[in-house]
Amino acid sequence: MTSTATPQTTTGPAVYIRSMSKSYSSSSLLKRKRIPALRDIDLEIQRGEIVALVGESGSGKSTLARCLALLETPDSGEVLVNGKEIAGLKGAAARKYRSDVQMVFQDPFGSLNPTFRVEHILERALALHQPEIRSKRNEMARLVSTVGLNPEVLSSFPHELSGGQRQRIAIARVLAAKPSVILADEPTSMLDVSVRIGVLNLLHKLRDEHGISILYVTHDLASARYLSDRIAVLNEGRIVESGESVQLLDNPRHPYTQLLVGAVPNPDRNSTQDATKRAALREKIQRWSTGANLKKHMIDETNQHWVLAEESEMN
Amino acid sequence: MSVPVLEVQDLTVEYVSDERAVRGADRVSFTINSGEIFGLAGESGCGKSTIANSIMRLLKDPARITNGKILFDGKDVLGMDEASLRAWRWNNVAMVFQSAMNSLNPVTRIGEQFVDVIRTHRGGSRAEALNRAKELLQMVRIDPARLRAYPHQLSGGQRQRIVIAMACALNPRLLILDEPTTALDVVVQQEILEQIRELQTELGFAILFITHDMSLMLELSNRIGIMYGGRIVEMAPSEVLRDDSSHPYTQALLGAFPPLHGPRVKLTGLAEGTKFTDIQDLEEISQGHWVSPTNQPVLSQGELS
Repeated sequence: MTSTATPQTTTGPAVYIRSMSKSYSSSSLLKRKRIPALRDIDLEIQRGEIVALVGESGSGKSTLARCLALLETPDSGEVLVNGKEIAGLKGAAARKYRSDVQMVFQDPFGSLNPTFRVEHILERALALHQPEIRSKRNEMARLVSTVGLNPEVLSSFPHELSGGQRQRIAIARVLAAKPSVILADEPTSMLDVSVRIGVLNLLHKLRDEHGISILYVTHDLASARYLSDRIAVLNEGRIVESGESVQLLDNPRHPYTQLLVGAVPNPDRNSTQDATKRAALREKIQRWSTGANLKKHMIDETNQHWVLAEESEMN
Repeated sequence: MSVPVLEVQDLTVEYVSDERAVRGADRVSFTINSGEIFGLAGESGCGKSTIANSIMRLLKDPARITNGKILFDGKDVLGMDEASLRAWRWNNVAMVFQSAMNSLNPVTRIGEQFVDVIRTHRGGSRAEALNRAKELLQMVRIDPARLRAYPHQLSGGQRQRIVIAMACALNPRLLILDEPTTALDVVVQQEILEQIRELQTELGFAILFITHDMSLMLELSNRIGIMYGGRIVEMAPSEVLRDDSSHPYTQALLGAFPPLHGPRVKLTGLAEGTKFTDIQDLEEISQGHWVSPTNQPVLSQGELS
């Protein structure tokens, strides 16, 4: 069921990952073992597509984003971004890659240098990534208005801004690099709830207006459904189910996805997921994930909805 | 539902510095009936924890209660001296703090911590206290053998359940839960909430539930107060608030949580920099539905492109 088309530089997917694995070593006094963080990941993000990566803490979702950002090196597998292999990028090529693939972090309080004004922060980004631009002032004003802020914020220090405004500045800085891919790692989880939607809407707009591909990493299924075209569910380092967002969450097939969907607080829900149901699902997850012959099974071709399972579970 | 368990009347708390005083809570009034789950929702800094801490009389300098009354079973909480406060806390009202799983003592076994709480507040022998601890652990579905464990040997969810069990140790009439599931994964969160509901059915306490997560709040609470800038801007039974909210801030909060089912609609949330000022006293617009009058526009929703 895997697509075998070789990506091309201009028409292929923005991000193309095949069989990527990554493990961390954990050494104690007596034994040393490798803990798998990502196992055999296949993932594609088309140009201008928003893909959400969801899972609980420890499922490996941040590791995947960090591998794409060159902050971690995968142990094996193939990763192509805009048709180019990213393994072993060095020097100028790595720098170019880093401007093309930008990351938005969770904490806008930590990601902006508190000692500089916003204009300095953006000017630096422009000087690094787009040195050809003459009138930096105009460009900065344009960036700031793209992210929905008033040009007056340019003369502010980060501490004078609210969390939402700061995250918007962090996104403006990302835009200064003219990226084709944005990796957004829980970009709203530190923000006040009423401004979160605004930041999600902004990411949506960047995709619509600039055609930027986005990998949205989150533990929040509802926001993943809201923002993304497609969702990939990570469980213990494996993508266990993936498909068009709305369809996937309406019709989850993998027991882990079912467990997550059933646990999201929902006052309109008519049946509750009680302890017995959870225990049954957990047992099923265990059985499904230890299968010796796991394969992707396409459930719905039009929505590209597939699930990772043993043949015997699919009947 | 004769005398309410808790009555907060016109409570005003100020954080006083040399230059100025900031109001953390401003003329806040609400009641919680026996066995009721009352939710206080709002964003960081809106004053919800300030209220919880005032009820427990845990406010520290520079915070000062400058006005208002807190009545528990008709008794004046603000007038209690240290000794009566000690007797009142845990026995009558217990609180589970934000990230409570880190509030366990890391170098003492779980069992000892239960014994400590129970004997300090109710006396009795060590063996009796341990028995009670076993009962409580069973109630939250943790193997009583874990009483011998140290906190680091347990998962975050287990520790959180232990802290909740400990709060229930002396059958309080009111339990204050301040963001009890923040920082936990959704499945664990669901388990904890279920545990809280079970304990409540069994022991019959009332709950003051504090969170910023509206979907969680709507699922658990009977009645909800929405706080903004130290004031309650809207208060109503959960269903009314969900279907028929009136204050634009309530709507912004509700609109901040996209639904998991149904059509994908574009939500607006609160525009960057929106501020509500000069919040008026609540007025009852229908039976049990109180709203602070405002002339700021209702937020609109449209299709998501």
